Parts: sequence; C-alpha cells; structure tokens
Amino acid sequence: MRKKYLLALLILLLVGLVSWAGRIVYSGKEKPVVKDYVSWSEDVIKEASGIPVKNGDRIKPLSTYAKVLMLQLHGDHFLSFQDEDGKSYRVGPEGFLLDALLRPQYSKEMKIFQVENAEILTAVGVETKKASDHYSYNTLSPAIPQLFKLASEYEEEKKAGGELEITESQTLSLARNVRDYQLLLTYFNFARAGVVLPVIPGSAPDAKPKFVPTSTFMSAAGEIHKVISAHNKDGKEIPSHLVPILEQVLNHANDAKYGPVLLNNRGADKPWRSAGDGIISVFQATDPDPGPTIKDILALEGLYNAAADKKIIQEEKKSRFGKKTVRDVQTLSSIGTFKADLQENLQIQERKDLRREISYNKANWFFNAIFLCFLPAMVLVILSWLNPTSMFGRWMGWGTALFSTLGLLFTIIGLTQRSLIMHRPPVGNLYDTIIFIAAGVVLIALLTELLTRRKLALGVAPFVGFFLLVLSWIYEREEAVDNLEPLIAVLRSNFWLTVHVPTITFGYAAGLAAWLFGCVYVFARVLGLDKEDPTLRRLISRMTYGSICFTLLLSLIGTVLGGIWANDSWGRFWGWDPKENGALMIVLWTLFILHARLGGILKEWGIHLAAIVTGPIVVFSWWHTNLLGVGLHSYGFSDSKMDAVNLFYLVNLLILAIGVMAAILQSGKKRPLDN
Amino acid sequence: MKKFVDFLAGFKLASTLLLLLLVLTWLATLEQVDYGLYPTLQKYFTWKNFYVLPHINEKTVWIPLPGANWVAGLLFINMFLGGLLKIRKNWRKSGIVLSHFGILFLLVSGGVSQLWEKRGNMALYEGETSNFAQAYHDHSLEISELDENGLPVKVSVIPMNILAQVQKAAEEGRTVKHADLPFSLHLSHYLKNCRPRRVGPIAAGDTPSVDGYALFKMPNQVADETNLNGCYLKVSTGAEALLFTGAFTPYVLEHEGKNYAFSLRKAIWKMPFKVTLDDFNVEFFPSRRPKKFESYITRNEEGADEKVKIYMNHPMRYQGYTFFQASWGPPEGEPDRPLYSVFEVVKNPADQWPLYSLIITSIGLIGHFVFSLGKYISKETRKASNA
Repeated sequence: MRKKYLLALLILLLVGLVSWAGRIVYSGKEKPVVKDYVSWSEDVIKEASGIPVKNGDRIKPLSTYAKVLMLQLHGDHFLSFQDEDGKSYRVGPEGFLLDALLRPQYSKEMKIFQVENAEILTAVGVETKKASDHYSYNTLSPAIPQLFKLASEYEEEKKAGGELEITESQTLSLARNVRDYQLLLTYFNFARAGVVLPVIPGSAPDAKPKFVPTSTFMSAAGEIHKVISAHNKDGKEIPSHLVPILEQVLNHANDAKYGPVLLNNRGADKPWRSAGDGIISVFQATDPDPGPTIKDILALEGLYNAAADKKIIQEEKKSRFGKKTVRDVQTLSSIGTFKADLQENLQIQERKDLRREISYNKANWFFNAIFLCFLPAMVLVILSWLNPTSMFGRWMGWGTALFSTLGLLFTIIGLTQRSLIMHRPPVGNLYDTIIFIAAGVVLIALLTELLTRRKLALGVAPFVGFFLLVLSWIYEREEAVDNLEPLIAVLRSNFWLTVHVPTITFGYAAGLAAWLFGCVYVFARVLGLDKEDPTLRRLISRMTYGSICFTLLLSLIGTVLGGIWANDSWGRFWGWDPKENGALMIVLWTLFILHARLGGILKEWGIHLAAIVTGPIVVFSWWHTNLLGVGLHSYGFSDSKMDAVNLFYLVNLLILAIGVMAAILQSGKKRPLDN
Repeated sequence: MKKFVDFLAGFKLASTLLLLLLVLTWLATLEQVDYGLYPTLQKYFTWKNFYVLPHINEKTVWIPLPGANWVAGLLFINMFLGGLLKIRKNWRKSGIVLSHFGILFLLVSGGVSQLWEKRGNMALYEGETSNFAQAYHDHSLEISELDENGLPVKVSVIPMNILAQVQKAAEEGRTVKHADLPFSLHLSHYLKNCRPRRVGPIAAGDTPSVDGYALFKMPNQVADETNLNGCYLKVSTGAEALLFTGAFTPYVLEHEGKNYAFSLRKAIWKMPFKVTLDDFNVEFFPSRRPKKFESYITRNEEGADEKVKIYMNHPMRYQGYTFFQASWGPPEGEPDRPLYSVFEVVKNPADQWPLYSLIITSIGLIGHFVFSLGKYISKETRKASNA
C-alpha cells in the first residue's frame, strides 16, 4: 500500500519536473508584436554561428559569444514574439545577434532586457507591470539618459570605496547591458549610412550630393591623406568640403569601435581589431597595406546589404512560403566570404579549436543528457519499481541502466570536448565542477549497482544526473559568462589541474553519493519500503559505508595534494583558506564516522544519519565557501545562491530530524551493523 | 593506569577529538569573514588558548570549546597510541597503520613549520640586488650607530619577543638593555595600530606626549599587515621619543658625541646569498587578467653566479630557503612604468615533508581500500557461484 503511495508521489514529482523543464524551454511570456518580421533561414544561422569572434581572452565561435550575451541581457537562450499577423517566432542567440547588428528596427521592438527588479525602472520613470519582467529597447529608450546618469553616480560611489545596495548594483548592470546592446545597434552604421559627398562649390548648378559606400571612400584614403598632408605642410586649413565627409567617416568609425565583429589583423602577434579601428587605421595610413582591411569592410557592407535591405525583406514577406529567397542566398554567401577570410588567417590550432567548439555548441551534450537520457531513465526506473521481479520490471531495469549509461557517456564526451577546447584538464571553474560531479556520482551509482544488483543504486543514478545537470544549466544562465575562458596565472598548471582538482572534486561526488545512500536508507525505513528485510538494510549500509571510505580516500589525498600545490605556488602548505577548510572538514567528518563506528558510537542508523550530514558538509565546501566573500571569491548577486544553499541545509535538517525520530521509535528493533 | 591509556588510545576519544576539530575548523572559517584571517588563527590555532568562545555573526556564543592546537595535540597522542602502538599488527591492518603513520608525520611537519618556519618577502626592481627578506607581521626595533656621514656603523636589534613583552606590560612598560648600547631604554604604551597626532585640550592621546604630539590608538585592521605599530620610548639619558612604524625618518639621539638612529620596523632577516633580478616578465590577457609572470634572477653566493627562473608554481629551493613568485607592483602600473617583482621567502625545515607524508598515507589508504574491495567482490562472486 505504502509502495503505491510512493510511486504516485514519484510520478507526480516527475510530471512536475517535466512541466517545469517545459516551462523553461517554452516559457509562456506574453508575446510582443514585432511588425513585418522575417526570420533568418536555418542555413544563415548555421553559417553565422561559426564566424570566429575575438572576445574576452580568446577566439570563439559567434554562437558562443551570442549565447553569453543573450544570457547576460535576456536571461534566456530564446526570445519569443509574433508579427502583426499573429505568426509566432522564436529567436535563438545567433538570430538575436544578427537582428541587433543588421536589423535594429526589429531588434529594438523585441523584449530583450530582463529586469528582475521593477524598482530600478520606476526610479527612472518607466512604467512597470510586474516585479520581474522583460522590456524592449524602445520602451526603455526615453529613460536611458536618466539610467546612465544614475549608473555613473553609482559607479563613482563604488570607485570611492562605497558599498552599493542591491538595487544600485542592479541599476549598474542594466545600464551596462543597455550600453553593450547599443554597441550592436550602431555597429553597422558605416554600411547603413555610407558616406554622403556634398556638392563641391563651383560645380554644375544641378549637381546633387552623392552617396558612396564607406569602403569605396576608404579606397581614396591615400589620396585624401596626401591632400591633407599637403595642406598641413603649407600651413593651410583642410579644404572645407572635406570636413563634413571626414566627420561622417569618423562617426562611423566611432560607432563601430567596440562590438563583437572583429577583423583579423593578419599576423599572429597583432591584436584583432574592430571595424571602426580598421577604418581609422586606413585613414591614418598606419597600415602599410590597407587593401585587406578595405576588403573586410567591403565584405561587411555586402553582408549588410544582402541581409538588411528593407525593400527585399518586404517583398519577401509578401511572397514567401517557406522557400529559399534571394536574400537568404545572398546573405549566406556574404557571411561565407567574410568567415572564410577570417578563418584563413587563424593559426592552425585556433582553427582546430574553433571547429571543435562549433561542434560542441551544436551537439549540446549536457542538454541532451538531461532530456534524452536521464529523464527517460527516471521514467523507466519508476516503471521498473512497479513490479521489480517481473519480466517487465527487469526490462525496464535494463532500460534504466542503458539510458543512465548513455547519459553518463554524453556527459563525459561533453567534458572531454571542453577539455580539448581549453587545452586543460576538465575541472577549472565552478561550472566544470557541477558537470564533473554529476558524472562522478552517476558513475559511482552505476558501479555500485554493478556490485550489488538490487536496483537501488541504479535508481539513484538518473535522478542525480538529471538534478545536477539541470543545476549546471541554471548556473550557466544565472552567471551569463563564457565558462570556457582561459585560467589565470596561478591556475595554469596542467599537472596540478590533473592531479589535485579532479581528486578533490571526485571526493565531493563520493560524499554526495554517501549522502544519497543515507537518504535512501532513511526513506526506505520510514516508509517501510525495505519490508523489514535485513539483507537489504545491510546492503544499503555497505553502499553508504563504502562511499564514505571512498570520500575519505579522495578527499584526504586531494586535500594534501592541494596543500603541496599551494606550497609550490604560494609557499605555504596550509593557509586556513575557506576552501581548504571545507576540504579538511570533509576529511574530519568521514574520519569521525569511521572511528565512531569502530568505537561503537555509531551503529546502522547512526552511520546513515551521519552520512546525511556529509551532504551539507560537501555543499559547504563546494558552494558556501565561495559565497563567504573572503579572498577572491566574492561574486555579485550571490543572494540567490546563498538562499539555495540554505534551503539545502534546511531540507537536510528535516530529513535528519525524520531519521532521528524514526531511529528512536525503531530502536527496539535495531540491529548492529554487520562488520 | 591501563584504563587511562586505553581511554587515551581509544576510538571514543578519537571520534570526539575529530568532531571537535571539525567544529573548530568550521567556526574559524566563518569567523575569518568578520575578523580577518590572522586574528582568527591567533585565536583558534595557538597553544596560548586552552579554550575559545566562538563568535557567530559577531556575537559571542557562550559555549567554551577547547583550543584547536590542544585538540590536535591530544589527537596526535591518541593516534600515536591507538593507531600505531596498540593496533593489532597484521597484514590486514598494515594499510591502516601506514596511513596513521603518514598522518602523524604530517602533523609533525605542521608543528615543525609552526615553530621554525620563517616567512617574509623581498621586492626587487629589475637590476636590483638584495640579500634581505622582510617579515610580514613581526616587528623589531633597530638602533643604528651612525658615522659622521649618517651611515650606520653598527646595528643593534631589539627583537620581537621583547617587543611582545613591552606590549603586554602596557603603560608600565619595560626596561631593555642591549650590550652594545651605552644607555638603557624604557619602552611602554605599545600600540598595535596607531597614528601620531597633535595633542589638544580634549584629545590627550594614548601615549605620553612628546613635543606636543602623541600616538592615538586606531582600531586594529583585519588585514594585520596594514597595522602601524608605535610606542613611547624613554632613554636612560632622559631623552624621550615616539616610535612609529609609519615614520618616514628614524628618531635620532645624540649621546656622547655619537648619533643613534631608532627605527621601529618590520623585522628583516639576512640570507646567505644575494639575489639580483635580471628580468621580469608579466603577460596579461586582453581583459588584464594575469596570464603569467616570471622572474629571471641571478643568485650570487660567494662570488659564484647561477641563473634561475622563478615563476608561478615553480619556486626556487636553495639552501633551505624557498623563493616564490608572489606578486608584482605597482598594482595600477602604467604600461611603461617599471614594475617590481615580489618574492615570498620562506625558510622551513619541513618544506617537503607533506609530500613524503602524502606518499606514505596514499599507499596505506589505497592499499587498504583495494584489499577490502577485493575481499568484498570475491565474497560476492563466491556467493553468486554458490547460489
């Protein structure tokens, strides 16, 4: 009877998880209307995603750049809206970036900016409906001067050493987002506006101002430079008709000075530069050969003209029924030309890494591990529990094992690819640890199942894989940073990154496995799922005990290794740094469990209750120490993370309380642990 | 007696001590957020404190806990007796005995480090040479006898343990005599962090005033290195002065036709070799994060030169001294401004002991683990084949 309740609960939980995940993927936000919108074809998106972009401290595919930017601005990987006819659109990172760069008229209408706190908008006079909402650039536009004014005040305050309130730092980050977005809007102005040549005084009366593309004008830069130098030499002023033209060029250069689309400066040691810097370099004649830069600008103009021509878009809108249009073909070929030229100038290794990252982005290993592997495995394992001994149950069990192993495989492939792209071992930042620990716990659970074959550890595997990978996904969205960036000097040691970090991180995984097995025991006993079967109890006890030993082994070796590394990099073995202390706490706790067991203080119940405490201690070491704000680990917006950590503590306290009560109530039937 | 030894060697004591050490580590981790690392360590991890009262969110918790050093000391005895002497010695237990030995050795190396480790830093611009390192926390009072050109001829040092006694004696102070000095000194009112200021009708200062100035006590800084120490000095000749680590020039006393310069400063110590910084490279990522920094130095010992490269994770170990690439400055250096390289200089007899301990412990633990797992698997296989 109890079992049916439990299964009903589990199914309910699963339905909840699925609908929650679905809500994230297809969030039912109120869809704004973007008039006349025409979407990019899949080919265009695919082609654009591989454009090399120099951003942060490395060269990356445009898809990575766009994804991080979109998360930073929008808080999500997708944007939804509809056109005036009610047709729905869902735009991903690449489309979002292409629209902002090439077709600002649409982009400005999209609800791009995520504002989590309506207060900061009411402060600058924007009408708000919900506490947390999305806003389009056009909605925010009138308030932007006031927003920037406030932001610069806060910036000053921060520089003076003042501590900002949460609303103030939120205002700062919104202003930063708006500024970053504006850089995209203006970037292609050189292609959009070109250069208007005014009528030279003394020319024919019917002469009209003439429009030329910026690149064409750049070809004449040499001549113009000569004229200006000649005038300067003679002490004369620059010819008056040249002044407004040069002003236009200068404006274009400034508009395109910052932003993602960079031109390869052709040469290993030369920094990449923006289109704006390229234009300026041609007019200042700083490059011996301006030809390649002019070619790049021409390519970008071609791309703009192909992609953004309003007339073509409108005609297309009327005539289009899902077929390839002239615009698609032209856009595709101009992106291809531009990309090929950039790629050609990359180092061989850079080109390899880029290709690898493009394929990594496309494969989306972790997302697929969640939804194609662990989720089905969760369903299968619940089905197998319905009637474990029947043929059906056995088949479902095999299915669970298959899908969980597949999920593990996906996770490991993803980790390996990340490793190859970064040229370092798999764990180097907090994001890496989540994935690595997910793989670690699933591996431990599957290996335990291999040894025990009671479908207990097997049941744990998909749940933990699912939960931890979803956590990594949430973390990625919250942080909105490129987590493939290279490491700082002190961490750039592949030897120690191979030896110390994975050991300690795998120790966390083992600790979490022990915690899970402890929880399984408590629930099995409390809900009577073990049917008073002593062999089953003894089995769970062995699983828990084994995981604790494994945790000790890894944490102890990992911690001492960390000390030796610290001794080589900072000259001290131990510095009582929070992270070090956290690792030591895991070691001390597992040692306590082992010794207390031998001393007869902890028996069967005691070991499992103690194993449950391992969970919070691991989480303290893994997350809490980073949130303490001591040393170099203070992050902004850490409140939500601290809340999550506290929630975890609270839940464990509850489980522990239930466990202690059950242990006291059942103490009469208590059996000593089998040694 | 046997019962007592059994208790000392027992699992119950071991469990209690491990648990206590865990709780103390946890509390010390939380406390350093509010009080800074150094003061927290001075509270929890010293032999001075038999017990500590933890603070949570800056509020005192009135539950006394034993000082961590005493707990660790007792654990050491417990482990030595229980895990090494009394444990039944057979093949099955050999891994456990070995790992206990490794951990004991680790604790010994920790103790040796704490007692005998000297630690300081050396900052050099390119081309500069030095054979001195400056301590981080310890202070000393240096009295230099000067020649007619104002250069030191003989330096007498009042070391930090005497200064600590002065600090303890507060306003009473204590008299210090140095064999090389023709006068005695009375030092008092030692302040951990202070600033000299003019004495006014209301503000009297925290030391006796000298020429209308006194030292004013300041709150102790969380980062101990930034505290500026000071004290009041009365010389047996009758002269008086304020000594202050932040002073730009030393206090100079004239006595029997000779000049003596007094300076209260971070203690420095001399090394048996000289170090010249030949070249210093810093590389940044475009985002200004440090990519690598490396110093090329020449080590000179009695005329013999040796070129060495010191960089992150690759220190120079020589004659018991270890030089680490610690940092560089100035922090907001303009691109063309010369940079200096900072080495952390450590002299620690137990420098490499943790590595040996790790090897011993790992062999013990992994051996035991593999042995136990193997036994379990073979038992299961036997069970399966019997079934």
